[in-house]
Amino acid sequence: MGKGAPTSSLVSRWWRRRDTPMLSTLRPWLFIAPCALFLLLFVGYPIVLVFVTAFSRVDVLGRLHGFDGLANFSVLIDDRFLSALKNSLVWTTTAVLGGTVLAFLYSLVLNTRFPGRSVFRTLMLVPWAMALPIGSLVFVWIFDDQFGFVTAFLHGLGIISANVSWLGAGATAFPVLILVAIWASLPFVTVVCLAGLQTIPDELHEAASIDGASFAQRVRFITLPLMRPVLAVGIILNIVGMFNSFPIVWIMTQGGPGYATEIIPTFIFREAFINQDFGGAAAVSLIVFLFLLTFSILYARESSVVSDRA
Amino acid sequence: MLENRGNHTFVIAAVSLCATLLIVFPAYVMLSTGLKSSETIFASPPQLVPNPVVVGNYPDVLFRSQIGSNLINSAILSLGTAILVLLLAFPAAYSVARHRFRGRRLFMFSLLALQVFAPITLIVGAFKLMATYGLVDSYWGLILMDSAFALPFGVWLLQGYISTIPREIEEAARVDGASGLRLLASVVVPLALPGLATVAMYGFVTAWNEFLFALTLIQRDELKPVTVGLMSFRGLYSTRWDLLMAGATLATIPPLIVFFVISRSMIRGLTGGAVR
Repeated sequence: MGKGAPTSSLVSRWWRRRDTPMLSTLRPWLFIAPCALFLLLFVGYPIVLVFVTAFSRVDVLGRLHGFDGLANFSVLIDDRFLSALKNSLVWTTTAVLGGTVLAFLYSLVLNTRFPGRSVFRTLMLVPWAMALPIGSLVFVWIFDDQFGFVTAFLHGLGIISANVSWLGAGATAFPVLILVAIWASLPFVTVVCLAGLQTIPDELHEAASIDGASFAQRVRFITLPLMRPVLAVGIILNIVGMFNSFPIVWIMTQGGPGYATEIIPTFIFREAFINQDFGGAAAVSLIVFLFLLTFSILYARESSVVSDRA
Repeated sequence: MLENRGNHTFVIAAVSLCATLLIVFPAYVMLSTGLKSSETIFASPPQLVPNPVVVGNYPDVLFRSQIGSNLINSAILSLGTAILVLLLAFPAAYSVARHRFRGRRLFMFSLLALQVFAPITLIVGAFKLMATYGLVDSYWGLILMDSAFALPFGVWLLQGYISTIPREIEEAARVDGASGLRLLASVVVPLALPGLATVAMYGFVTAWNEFLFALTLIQRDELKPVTVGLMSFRGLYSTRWDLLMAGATLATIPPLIVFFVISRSMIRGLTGGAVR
């Protein structure tokens, strides 16, 4: 590289002037600036646009025509929105609860030493590595009413006698979608649980065993309390991810049949890009945004607790 | 933490085998359906192992359908995102890892908080932004949005990596006369290479697996990435699950490999270093 071209030596000479206090406070920010500006432009500015759109009169092409008060927010008393909201709450709570319980049990198993454990620990990451839209497509085929594995399996066991149109009826479609959501989130939550388990020293369990604590007691009084900080972060992220999850529902049912499986994300997408009601979509986004803001602060606080501990 | 004596170990191994098989089952269905013929996909009961094994679905889907070009689009988008994330994340991560300055905590806190925002919350704004600047139906629009969503965690990962590099190495190089950008290029970059590679690959996987931005910002068929392309394919050939699953398998291989390469460091970053 030699002694460097004139321009680069100019830059490095400027760089070395560490004496001026102004410069030494600015320098770290100069490095951060591209990243920060980029995020402001492509995350911050769209959020501002959502705000502005929500309070504007918007035509079908998405052009804004001045302030319109709360008119766009009338969508919030629409029955379709209310049912999407209800579905979203059911979807998020059941998938997060189910996923957390299953992942916790699974992590207890995977935390035990047995031959082949590392293979399982790797294989269980597969749903995470697969693109969710692709995973969702595969599940459409698995739940195919005539040729899918689930129909054949339950038929073979004698549980169902005729073909069930799993995704064709709201009563079965929604549980199936939630199952897929749990499948998709299981690796992440399991990894979080495993992380929590590894922070607990073995001596605690040994001491408790000697004192006669049963397995269930040890889980209740040692494992769960000590895992709380790590688990809290995992659950917050999972709630948020679940609430915002779009591909599973959009690919498997498009919110149907009717609007039986419509959740808030598919509602926003439909309002904006199918019904061309950008104002309504922005109004709903705004509500979701405020909701997420709470979780986001909660998450940042909880996870700084975790990283301070580590 | 469970006792691992005799029977216990066996039961635990059996339980985790069953659970893991269930978890991997969809991936297996995808792979095996892609190897069935257009008749045997409709076998009743469905074949667990394809018979005969049909390899022809792969060239069919690659060269005689839209999926081939969708895969190329995905590759371009993902590489573009990887590079952009890398370029933006490295200086920021270095600065945060090496300097203590006013606003540092705020910046880190914002990065964490940003990880909670999903594309769906700002899709209306993002679409408006891209439409205004003519970036709908352009790789750029999608690369920019995907990068914005990969960036916060990318910086987070990379600063974690850089802070594990002993500061003394840089100080020694500085004593030897290297400084400024020279120091960065010839000392920091080589040392941080594994971290940089991880961040680039994280950007790659994020862009490859993304769906909502791709669905809204790309409308022309020939520009669609493979996640959206497969969905259109299903709309066109609703009964050709053999071809669809072959395409899905092809679309899964690149991110799967990359994901497994970086999973360890990703998990470490996610869990604040609690898993080692």
